[in-house]
Amino acid sequence: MRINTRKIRTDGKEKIRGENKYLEDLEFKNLYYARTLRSEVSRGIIKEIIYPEIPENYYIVDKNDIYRNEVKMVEVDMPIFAKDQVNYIGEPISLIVGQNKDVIIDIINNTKVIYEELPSVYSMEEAKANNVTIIEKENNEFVSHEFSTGDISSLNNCEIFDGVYETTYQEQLYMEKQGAVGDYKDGELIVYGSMQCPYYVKNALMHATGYNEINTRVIQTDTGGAFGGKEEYPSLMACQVAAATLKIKNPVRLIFDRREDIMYTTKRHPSKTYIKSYVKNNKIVGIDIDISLDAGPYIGLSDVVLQRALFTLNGAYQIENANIKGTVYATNNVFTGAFRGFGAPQSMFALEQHFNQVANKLKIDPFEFKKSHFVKQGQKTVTNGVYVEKIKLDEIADKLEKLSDYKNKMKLLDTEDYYYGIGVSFVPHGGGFTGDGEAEHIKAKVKLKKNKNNTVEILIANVEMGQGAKTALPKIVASVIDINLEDVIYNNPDTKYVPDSGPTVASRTTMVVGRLLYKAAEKVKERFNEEEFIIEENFKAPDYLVWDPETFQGNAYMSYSWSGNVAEVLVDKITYDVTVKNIYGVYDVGYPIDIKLVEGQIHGGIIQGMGMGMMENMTSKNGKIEQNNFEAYSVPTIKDMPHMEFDLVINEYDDGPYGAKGVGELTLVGIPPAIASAIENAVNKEFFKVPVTPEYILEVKEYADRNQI
Amino acid sequence: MQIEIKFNLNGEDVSIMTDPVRRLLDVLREDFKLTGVKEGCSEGECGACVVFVNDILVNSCMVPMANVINKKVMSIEGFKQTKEFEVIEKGFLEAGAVQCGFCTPGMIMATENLLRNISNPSVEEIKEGLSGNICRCTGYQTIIEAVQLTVKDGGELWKSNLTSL
Amino acid sequence: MEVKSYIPIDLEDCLGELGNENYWLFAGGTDLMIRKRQWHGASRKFVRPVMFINDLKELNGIESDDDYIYIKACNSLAEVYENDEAPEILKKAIVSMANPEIRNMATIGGNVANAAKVGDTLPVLFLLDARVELRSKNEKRIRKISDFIKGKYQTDLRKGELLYQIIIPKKEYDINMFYKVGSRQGDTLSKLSVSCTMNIENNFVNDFRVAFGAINNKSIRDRYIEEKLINKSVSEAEGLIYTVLNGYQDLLYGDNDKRSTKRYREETAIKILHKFLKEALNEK
Repeated sequence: MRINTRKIRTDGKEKIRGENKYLEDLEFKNLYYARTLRSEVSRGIIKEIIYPEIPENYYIVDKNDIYRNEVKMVEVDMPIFAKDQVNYIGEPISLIVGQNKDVIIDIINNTKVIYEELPSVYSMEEAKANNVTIIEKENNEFVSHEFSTGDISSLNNCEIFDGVYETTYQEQLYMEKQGAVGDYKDGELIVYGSMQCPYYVKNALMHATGYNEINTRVIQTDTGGAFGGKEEYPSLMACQVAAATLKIKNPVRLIFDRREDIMYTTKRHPSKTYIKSYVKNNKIVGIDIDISLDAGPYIGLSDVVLQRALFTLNGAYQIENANIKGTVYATNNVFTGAFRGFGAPQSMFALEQHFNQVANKLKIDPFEFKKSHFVKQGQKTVTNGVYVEKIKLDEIADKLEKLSDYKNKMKLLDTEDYYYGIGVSFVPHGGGFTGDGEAEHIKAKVKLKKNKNNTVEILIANVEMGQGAKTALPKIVASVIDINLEDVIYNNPDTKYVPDSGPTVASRTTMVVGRLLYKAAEKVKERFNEEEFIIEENFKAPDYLVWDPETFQGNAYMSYSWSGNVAEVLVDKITYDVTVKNIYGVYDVGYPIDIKLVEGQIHGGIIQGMGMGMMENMTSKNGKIEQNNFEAYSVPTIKDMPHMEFDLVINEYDDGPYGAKGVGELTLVGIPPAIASAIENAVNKEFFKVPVTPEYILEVKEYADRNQI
Repeated sequence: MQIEIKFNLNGEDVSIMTDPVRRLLDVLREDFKLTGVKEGCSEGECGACVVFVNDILVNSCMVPMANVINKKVMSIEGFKQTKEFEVIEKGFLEAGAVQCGFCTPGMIMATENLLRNISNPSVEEIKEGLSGNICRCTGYQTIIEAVQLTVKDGGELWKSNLTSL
Repeated sequence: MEVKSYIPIDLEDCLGELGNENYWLFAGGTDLMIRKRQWHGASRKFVRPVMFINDLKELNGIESDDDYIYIKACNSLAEVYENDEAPEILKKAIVSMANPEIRNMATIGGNVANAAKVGDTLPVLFLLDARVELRSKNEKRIRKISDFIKGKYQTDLRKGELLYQIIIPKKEYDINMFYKVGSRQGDTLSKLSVSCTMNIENNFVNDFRVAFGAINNKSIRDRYIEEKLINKSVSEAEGLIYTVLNGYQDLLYGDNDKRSTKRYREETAIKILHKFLKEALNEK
């Protein structure tokens, strides 16, 4: 087959028929259920846990049942079960395990935990104030980074603009809840789960149990959406069910109730970004940025999230002088983590919103203002890396202007009932891990197995989670070898059989793993007449990639995808309800492996970005998430969907398969600022945080002082 | 309290001993292994668990077994045997309206319900008809296209039905 | 944790048994199944026995005579919506509620007897001067809905009693408005709602009604304020718009909570009413 042949999704039919199996659909013989006993206080010392009498064949699994009570992520600061102290509401203390859910619930309801409560920190401001120290680091700072380009102190005679931009929690709200099943068979520890990163889970399991490479096995089950939510969290759950299954030597299933899932699993980091810009001749020539992220009580992936937030802070623009700073703070809120975009939605919202506001203050059309700053090939990033590939931002802008009819739309007026507004954003998104991450940390390895019957099997650890990996990757292999798509096999990864091709994150699956498969497939093609063999391919960093992980200097990414977005909104003059009428997007994702899959990522990203921009208002009160179900936490329904149109700019990336770059995250990142800018344009006021809810518009429009909000 | 509850499931008369407070969803999934019926939100907001009870589309996570006594229940497992299903399936495949798949069986059932009521729905009517089904992946546009393709390909299957809510 | 369940064969059986134990009455289940949840797949947490009344014939069906429409408690919201005689403003409220699947199950009696702050039929039934008929083994009482609903999740339902039907006076309303503000365009609970009707004849306002939902714990209806406009000429009424708005302003006590803010609820409700009044009085 040829790569540009349109193919129906390989997993479509069984999903439509409800025949594929998610974790909860699988049957296990003699299965035990587990439910988590959780902390009810945000910070406290556990003085005593008084369990009721535990019936026969029911078990308590806790910190004493695990070899190393640490969840191995980047660091190991989070326990699998609370040790002597709890640090957030909902922190797991133990699992109650048994075969009848009613009995388990009864045990939990009749358990009393006695705490000596300690003072808590519920916001980044409180963390900074440092009246209460909750971690063994100065100022409740987990980590802080600062770097610069050019020399901002040399600027003089500039007009100065500044603003503080905020984003709140966002919940992934994958349709399938988090879950893991632990099993123990013939000396082998097996964990099944809904996950993005089988090898993260395997490594965490080995660390926690002391089991080794050979007798630890992780099997990904069909995953009903993830969006980053199943990047690091499954490691925690896997370690918990491992402890349980090793204790009782029977399969143990931990699947969260939806309310638990919403309240206690990782979410997008709340952020606060201070931006000060220096303007000369209607151009931003310098920028000073300081980002803060709320990590909750454990660092998890937060340092990496912060780095991604920082590394693209020049956005789509050439800014010669920049000082970039970022800090991750500890709080006693729920701990936060990966979510589509991974730091970029926060920092790009701040930057784009700031550009919009500066343009308006300078009385320049934001579209033109942003265009006049576009970065070009050969220029430098904020980390002093060089943009080596072609940058087609001008083409994106031209197409976007035509597609959206921006110039004419700008002239549209309010109606009797609605304020009309239009907003624009341009954002980059780096594909793959930052800096030398792919080469030094991930070291992806893929295998292709040529079978006697002339089928070819993809052996990788990356997962299908809805994004279409099971279609895109086989398409690459089939088209390189020139066989039918049906003759490429790609099963859910089982670490017993697949090499570590890295996690299914960071818009890297098609770009990085797909490229390795492409190269492997070329070798398979050469030897196709041989009966049976395996080709292995390892990641090698491209020569142009220069990166110093100590100083954050060099190419933060191998390649960038780009987007331009226009949003049109109507704001109800009475209720301030916002209706997004149209979203137009133009994307440079290199080359689209499958246009339908790209379309799916575009539409889905837009709608999730719209949720972040104006609807999904998740708040934490005294350390507790206030919206715990599908009603209170309002994600867009089909009725909220705007008209969406998109176009692509083809810009093949030499080190991507067929020129493909990342697409999954990019599509979300530009939407919140486009919508927020459109609302600014509609009501003629400035907005500094998302989501821009009707309540917030009311405050800004009628009680103008933004410091009060 | 366990009682005997009889009902018709996907065309077959069945009977179970169970608590009448138990959710139809749990009975379908656990007792009859009909795992095409998914639990998403478990509060009637997401539509992943919808089934027909006496031809009325309901969230099976909200239905106690007492309310299905002597009634006709049809889940995706029953519906996928029909001609209507085949046309809807084709529409969803062609439009690329499936991603993670968790909401999909529910979307299919809601589409059938919509077309039973309105055989040639407008975009607004499609939106209203599917407003109880949350999809977090697709952004919905391809789902609307799927319904439109279904109508184009086999709309006459649903004609002659009356319009209602 | 399984509790006793009772599935009555008819209304008489139901009322007879109701006197014996303190039952949870279970109709469509769309609220109880959530409120009593503990863990998916585990039993609901009913500490009291449960009686299932959804399918009782006597509690289903809609009837009417010259003066009233009688909606039996276990009609689903969809059934009320599809009924030709149901008041237009009630239909507007119903179609704004939840989603098609829930409307197929949720009953109007459940929405009333549950007495949730956000129940959208409540303000409309207040506006329509609806009454509820309550039945027990030996007694039948009729109460004004505004007396029956006492507060958030609080009603005047006595032990052994059941909400039998909702009785709505038949009346034509020239202008009907049900305006709901939620957090999204479909499948949402009210942050606030404003229901208004007005009848104007020969340039005189001869009826005017307003009810606010989801702001205070109990729906707001105030005949005293409504009467300020009744029997006034349209131009006189126009001059009284601010008097009316100020009157309601004093009655609104919204909350800051996970869905909205006190200020937003109160101010938006007043603005919606203001717009309604301007349009209703100008158009005629």
